[in-house]
Amino acid sequence: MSLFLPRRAGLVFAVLTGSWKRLGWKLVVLMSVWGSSCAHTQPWVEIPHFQNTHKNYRIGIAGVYDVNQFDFADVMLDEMERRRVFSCVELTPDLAEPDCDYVIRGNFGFYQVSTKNAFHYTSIYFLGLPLLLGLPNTNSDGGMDINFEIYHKGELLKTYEYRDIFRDQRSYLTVWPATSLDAELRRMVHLLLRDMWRDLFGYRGAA
Amino acid sequence: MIRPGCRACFLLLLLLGAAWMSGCTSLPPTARRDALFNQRQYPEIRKQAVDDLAVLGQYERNGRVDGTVESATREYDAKYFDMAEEVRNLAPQAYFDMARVSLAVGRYTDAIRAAQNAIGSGASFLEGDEWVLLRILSLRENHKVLYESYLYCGNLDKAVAHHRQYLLINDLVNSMPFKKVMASLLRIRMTSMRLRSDYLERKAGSTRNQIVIAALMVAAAAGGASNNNQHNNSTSTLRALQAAQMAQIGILAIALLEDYKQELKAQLNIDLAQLMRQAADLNRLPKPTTADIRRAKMASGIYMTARISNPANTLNQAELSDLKKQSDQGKEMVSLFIDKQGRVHISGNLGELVALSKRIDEVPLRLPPPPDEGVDAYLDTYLTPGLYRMAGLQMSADEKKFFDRLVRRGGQDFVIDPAQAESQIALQGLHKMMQKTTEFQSWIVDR
Amino acid sequence: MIQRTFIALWLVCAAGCATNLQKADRLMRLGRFADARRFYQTELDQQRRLAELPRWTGREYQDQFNALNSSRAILGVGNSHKDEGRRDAALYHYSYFIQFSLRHRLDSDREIKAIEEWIRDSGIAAPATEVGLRTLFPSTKRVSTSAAVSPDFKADPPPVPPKTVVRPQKPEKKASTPAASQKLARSIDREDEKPKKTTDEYDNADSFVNW
Repeated sequence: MSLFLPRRAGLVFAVLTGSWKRLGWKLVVLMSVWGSSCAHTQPWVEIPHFQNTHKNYRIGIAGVYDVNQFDFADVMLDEMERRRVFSCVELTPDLAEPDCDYVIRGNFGFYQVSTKNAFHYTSIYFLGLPLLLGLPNTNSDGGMDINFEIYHKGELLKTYEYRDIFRDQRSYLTVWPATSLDAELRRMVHLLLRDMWRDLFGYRGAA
Repeated sequence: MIRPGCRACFLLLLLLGAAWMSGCTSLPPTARRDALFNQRQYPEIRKQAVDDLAVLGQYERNGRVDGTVESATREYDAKYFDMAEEVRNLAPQAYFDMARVSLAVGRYTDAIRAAQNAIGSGASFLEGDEWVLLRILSLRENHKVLYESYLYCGNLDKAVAHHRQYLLINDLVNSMPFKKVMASLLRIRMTSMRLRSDYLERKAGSTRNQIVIAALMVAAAAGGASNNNQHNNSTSTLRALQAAQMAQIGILAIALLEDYKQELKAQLNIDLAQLMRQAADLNRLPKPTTADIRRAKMASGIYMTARISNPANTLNQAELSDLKKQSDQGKEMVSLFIDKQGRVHISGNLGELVALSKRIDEVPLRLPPPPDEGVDAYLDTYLTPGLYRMAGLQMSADEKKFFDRLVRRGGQDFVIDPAQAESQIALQGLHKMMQKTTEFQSWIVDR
Repeated sequence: MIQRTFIALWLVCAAGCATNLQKADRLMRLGRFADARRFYQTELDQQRRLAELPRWTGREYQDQFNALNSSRAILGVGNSHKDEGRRDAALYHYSYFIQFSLRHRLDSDREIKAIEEWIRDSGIAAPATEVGLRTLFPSTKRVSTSAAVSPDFKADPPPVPPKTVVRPQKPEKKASTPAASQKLARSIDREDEKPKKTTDEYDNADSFVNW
């Protein structure tokens, strides 16, 4: 096709193909790399090994409260049901619920604040233009401190505490959602399930 | 075609992006050790903790912190609440990190010392009302470390006392009045972080404006002096504004935190400062009761394992008798002799000792499951201090590998030269094996 | 005139004919419990989202949820479950309501009394919501005779005259745990209880309130 184009148009065509396309792709890769960093102190634990344990346990959730005493038990319930770890997970206010093998209660504190980073301050001197390239300029700093209590027939059996401090780097071009309380809580639930499996069900696979 | 210069630029930026993606580099410095702990990078944690402890010299007596403090990783300006929190928590956090690393590798006495230091430094650096959240959380985690460390050292009384403190503080943290404290302090922390960031942004903008103005007026020689004045005026206005905001945070902190004392007094009838003083007074902890001992034992890992154990896998009487016979011969299995050069000569059946040690390691994992009724009798029979000491003398992976290699080599005589790198592993492992045999002998007597 | 009418109409359309709570209350009166619950739950979800993170006002972070509306929404969800005969769900939300009211020091005595009466009349076992470790704390009602209480913690006398409280009867539970002496000390000192002041109504093991 380029044989039929005039010479100047050929130059224009070369701009849109070849090296500039490669440049464009590199920029996209770079921007996605910049925009996708998110650091947590606690890992995201996958729970594939739960598949082989006995699931004959009934778990009660007696509330997962934040500092303002709002209940986020539905998030924990949803996450546990999604993982299909136990035969039954239900909400109950009774720590000595006779129908449940274990009752879990959680209390947590969560904070998240957006601050600017050095890239942003430096970009101010360049009238903010570098930020248009997707340079990460916002730190979303935050943390969650959570404490789970496991009750067995009304007796406190064990407590688990987790602290996750995170920093989410975002740019003006980052389209996916930032770290949220919901995501953090699910991360904590995974940690709890990992440790409950180790301590309460374990490799013995007790029925 | 991309020019080589641009290509190098992009590669550099790609590397930067990769570094960003690695995650750990972008965490706040105080959180980095948490991430390393989860990755089990213990030597690196120790190194960073020791570096952080070096800032102690910058504090005045009684832990007064003023102005700017430099640690190994960054500079802290104590007038910002969130930075003041971090800098005051440097020493307690460093000690705690060393404590939990020591606990994780089985060095219980080191863990005890470090946790005690953490509590002591928390008492001095986190004394004020505004640091109560950090102090309470620090007390909670250190008492937990102390509980586990004393337990596996076999000191049940102290372990139980610390476990009780841990439960008490845990209870307090989950209480309604304390939630009010936590909510207030989190808001203050967030406000401080945001104000600091906004200030730095405005400062950069103001500096940029000044630079632009100076550049525009560079041709006018008379603009030099007035530029300086404008820059100073702008900067000092900003500083004054920020000082007012920081003062506001201080007032906010005091006003919000004043409520919690009333709440705690009204609902729980406790004085938080007194409670923390008592929790930090490690030599005068309340004497544990029977219920405390029961709770402490039932919260231990050994009890948890026994609860879910397979009854078919329990040690039966025949196995226990066999183990008893072997352990009676334990002292005669190997003999030690130290020569004039300080080298340790081991002669005897090391292989048998190693095998016996491995079997004794299984004992805490193969206890019978506890009954539903009469748990006290079970706890008194099986979960004695001797059993915990036995469990605490588990050999590390390095020690196991070392002795397996030695046994595979065969022979009856070995020489350990303290000058060699592996001598510590050898001597510690040997000590653990022999100590474990002694503990097992005293534990098995009553069974 | 036309402009004012237009503005008034626009305001009405923007605000809606009623708030979520008002709509839900209206539906409850009509007996449409599931629909009412939907509006209560919407209000509760909104308040919960607002409470997740404080709002930046330009000078500080401020809480932006309305505690009173939230408590009414929680209570409304509980009532809707109760009226539909779902006792467990109702009990869960009542427990949540009481804890929330305590946390925010809302004046909910009337509602809490009504809940207690319902529990008593319907013969439901009051759920155990106590942590069970409260004897580690001194309290105005404690005579400090329990061995679990540290002798170092001394109980101060109550600052206000105490009130007698009728407690719902707790039915006997099958002992699925070791003997009663091994139960955590929430049941200790029940016989030694003195009459309590208002906030202590909910500090007792018989109540399903967690402070």
